[in-house]
Amino acid sequence: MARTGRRREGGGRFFLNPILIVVVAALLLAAALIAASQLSARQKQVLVGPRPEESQPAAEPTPPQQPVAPATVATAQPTKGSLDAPVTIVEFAEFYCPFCARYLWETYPKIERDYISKGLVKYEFHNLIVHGSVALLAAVAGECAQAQGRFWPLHDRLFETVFPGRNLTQPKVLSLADLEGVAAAVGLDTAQFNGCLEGYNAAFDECKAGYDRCTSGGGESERCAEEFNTCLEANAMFQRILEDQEELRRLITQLPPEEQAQAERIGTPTFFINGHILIGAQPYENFKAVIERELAKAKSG
Amino acid sequence: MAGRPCWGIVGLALFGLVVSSYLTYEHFCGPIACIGQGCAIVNESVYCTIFGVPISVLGIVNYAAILGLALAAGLRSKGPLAAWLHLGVFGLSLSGTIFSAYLTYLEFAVIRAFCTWCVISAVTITAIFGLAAAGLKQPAGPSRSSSSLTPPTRGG
Repeated sequence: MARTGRRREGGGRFFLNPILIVVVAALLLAAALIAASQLSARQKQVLVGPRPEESQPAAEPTPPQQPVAPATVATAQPTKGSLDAPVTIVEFAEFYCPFCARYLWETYPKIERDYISKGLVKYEFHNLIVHGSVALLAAVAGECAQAQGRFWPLHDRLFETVFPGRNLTQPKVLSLADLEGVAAAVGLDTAQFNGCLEGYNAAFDECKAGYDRCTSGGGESERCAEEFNTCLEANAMFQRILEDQEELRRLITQLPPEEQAQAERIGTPTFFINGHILIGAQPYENFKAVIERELAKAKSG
Repeated sequence: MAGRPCWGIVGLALFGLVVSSYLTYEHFCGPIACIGQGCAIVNESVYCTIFGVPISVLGIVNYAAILGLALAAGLRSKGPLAAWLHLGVFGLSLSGTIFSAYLTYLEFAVIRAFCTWCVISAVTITAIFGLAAAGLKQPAGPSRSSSSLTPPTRGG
């Protein structure tokens, strides 16, 4: 190169123009990747709705309050354990999240053995969607099972089905038929379950078609997304998922001030143990420490 | 890039490969294995995948390709083929550097979650690019370069 003389000379040195070509190709490739990333992200945001951390309470002055157990409002939330247990664990999870599965298989059994079965902990499940429409469908399947009061068997079997052989690196995307198969396998009323899930699925397809029309008609993507959400909100099962996101927001606003910062890094699974946040599939000992502390508080209080 | 294999590039590409593989393993949601817990957040955001392909998989592919090209360039250290191979390393690392810069921008400006390993990967690809660009300045292969615009791929 040093010897090639003037760089822009088109005619001669073989090394010169290839460099330009490669540079242009590299720039184009990078630009294409960035564009694809933006497009893909936009699509996902539409399907998932705002991410929870985007709606985290900025600096809203919340009165520093005693961490109290989340109100035991009689919801139709899937729960386990004694309703008047001194400690409540609220889990936010998703069926496609390998760490949720790892937690379920490695840590949860110990919590169940040591606390839930002894009436010390009440356990509550909520959905937190991080993997888009696929995860949304599975979450709705959970809601449809819950409508029959049979959430937990489906929950356990779903994780086994999504991660066959408990291989966390290879999640299997479940189709509508797969989900219905799982429901049948755990003994749900299939007619009712299928009606519930297919009803949601049809609503989703319809709203998605509306969204596609909206964007291809030159609609502003934000407005189209808004319309999409409004459309889907008419579906009762989707509403249940939205309520879960609302619940998450509520729990975040009620965090003790020193834990507020953690809420900016929420992922799945996230737990609230008597209103104290714990993020991720942490070792059992970490759960145990918080539970024991809360139990001691309950005893002395 | 005549002479021996550029061990700097080979080493960095290997390192990048390990980092990307780790990021892939951790790519779904959840914790906690990343330094400062940031990786999980960056990874699981809507920017984590491009139409279903985890970005860290792109990283693996890119580092593996760079590694392959750099090694091949070393094995075939003479001739225009080596120059072509090196040019490939240069091009891939340039794309990688630009895309990493974009991802780093996302981390800090949009997602606001700091991901140590992601930044390490960005630095790695930039260093590879630097080495590859520096290598380009050296006389490529034999000085008797062909006068055709399309470089000969064989035997020069």
